[in-house]
Amino acid sequence: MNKTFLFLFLLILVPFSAAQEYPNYVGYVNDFADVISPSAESQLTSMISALESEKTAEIAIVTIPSLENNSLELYAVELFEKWGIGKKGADNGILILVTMEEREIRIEVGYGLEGAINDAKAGRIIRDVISPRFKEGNYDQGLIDGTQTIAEIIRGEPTPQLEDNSGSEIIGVIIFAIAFFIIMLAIILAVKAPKGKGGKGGRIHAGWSSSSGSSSHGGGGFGGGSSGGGGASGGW
Amino acid sequence: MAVKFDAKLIAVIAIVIVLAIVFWFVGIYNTLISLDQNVNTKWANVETQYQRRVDLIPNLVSTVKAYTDYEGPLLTEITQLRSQWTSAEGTQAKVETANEMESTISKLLVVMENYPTLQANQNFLSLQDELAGTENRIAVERSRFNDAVRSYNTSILVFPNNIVAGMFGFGEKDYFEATTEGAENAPIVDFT
Repeated sequence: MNKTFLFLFLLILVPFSAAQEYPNYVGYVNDFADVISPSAESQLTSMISALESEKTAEIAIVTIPSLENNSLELYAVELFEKWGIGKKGADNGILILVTMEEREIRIEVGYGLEGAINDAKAGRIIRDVISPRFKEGNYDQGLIDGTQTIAEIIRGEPTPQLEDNSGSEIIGVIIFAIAFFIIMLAIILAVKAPKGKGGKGGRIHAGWSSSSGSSSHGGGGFGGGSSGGGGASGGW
Repeated sequence: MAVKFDAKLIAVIAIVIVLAIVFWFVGIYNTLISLDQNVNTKWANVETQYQRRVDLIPNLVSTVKAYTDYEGPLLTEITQLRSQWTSAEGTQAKVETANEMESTISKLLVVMENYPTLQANQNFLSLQDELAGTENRIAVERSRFNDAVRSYNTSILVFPNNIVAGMFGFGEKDYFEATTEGAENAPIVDFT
C-alpha cells in the first residue's frame, strides 16, 4: 500500500522535475564555451578566491555555447540555485553568465548583494565594462574587468555574519531522542515486568516517516546561496 | 506454542503504539503547518516585488516627462494604476491591478523606443534595468510561489497526510495563474 502511494507521489512530481539539465560546476570559472584563455582563467580564479577569503562572497563565471532556446534569465536563476552560489543565509553570490550563440550576458545577483549591486549597477557593468571588451572579441579582458568591478563593489560592503543554522536541527534531534528514550524505557519495563515469564518480549517497530529532507548542495565549491532573479542582462 | 497474555505488557504496548501514532500525527501536522507557512511566505515575496515595481513608477513617469514630449494616455493610466494598487484590498484585486500595470508599463516602454534621446539617457537606462530586473524577480517569485503551493497540495493529498489534513481543515490552495496574456513571462525590455 505504501509503495502505491509512493509511486503516485513520484508520478505527481515527475512532470515538474524533468526540466532543463544544468551542468555541474568545475570551479569559480566554468568556461564551457571555451572562450577564456588558461592564463585569464587562473587570474580570474585567484581574484575570486581572494575575494571569497576576504569577504566570503562567491562569484561564478560561466560561459556556455548556446542557451538552446531557453530564456537567459531562467537559465541564470536556475543555475544559480542549483549550484548555490554564495554562502547559505548570506546569499552573497554573483553569477556572470555568457552565452556565445545569442551573444548575451547576464549578471545574476544573490539576495544578499542586491543592495550593493542593484539592477542598474549590474546593467551598467555589462554596458560599460564587459560589453565594450566583448565587442572587440576580448572575452578575457571583459570578464577580468567585470569581475574586478564587482569585487571592488563587494569589498566596499560589510562582511556578512554567517549564521550557524544547525541550532534548530539539534533541538529536533533532542526532542526525538527524548521521545525515543521514553518509548524504549516503556518497552524495557514491559519486557522486564515481573510476571512476564511467557515470551521474550517482541520487538516493536515504531515507524516514523520523515518526508522532509533538506536538499543540501554537495560539498566543495559553493556555499548554498540563493538568488531571486535580481541583476541585469545585456548583449554585445 | 502457548502465549500467555500479560495484561501489563499489553497495556504498555498499547500505550507505546498510541504514543507512536500521536507523535506521528504531530509530525505530519507540523509538516503541513510549515508547508502552509511556506506558501504564505512565498506569496509575501511576490507582493514585495509588485510593490518594488510600483515604487519605480514615479521615477519612470518623471523621467519620461523630463526627456520626451510624449503626451499620450499611458502615463496617466500608470499613475492611476499605482493609486489603485495602494487602495487594492485582497489578493485578487492586487493581482489584477499588478497585471494591468505590467502590460501598461511594457506598452509605454515600447512607445519610448521612438525617443532616441531617452534611449541614450543614463537615468532611463538604469530605470529600464530596474524595471527589467523587477519583472524578472516577479517571475521568479511567482514560480517559487507555485512550487510552494504544489508541494503543499501534494502533501495534503497523499496518505496518511490527507487524514491529518482532513482533521484540521487543510484545504487545497490555488496556483498563481497570470490573468492577462503573456503575464507569466517577463515582458522583453529591449536593450538596444
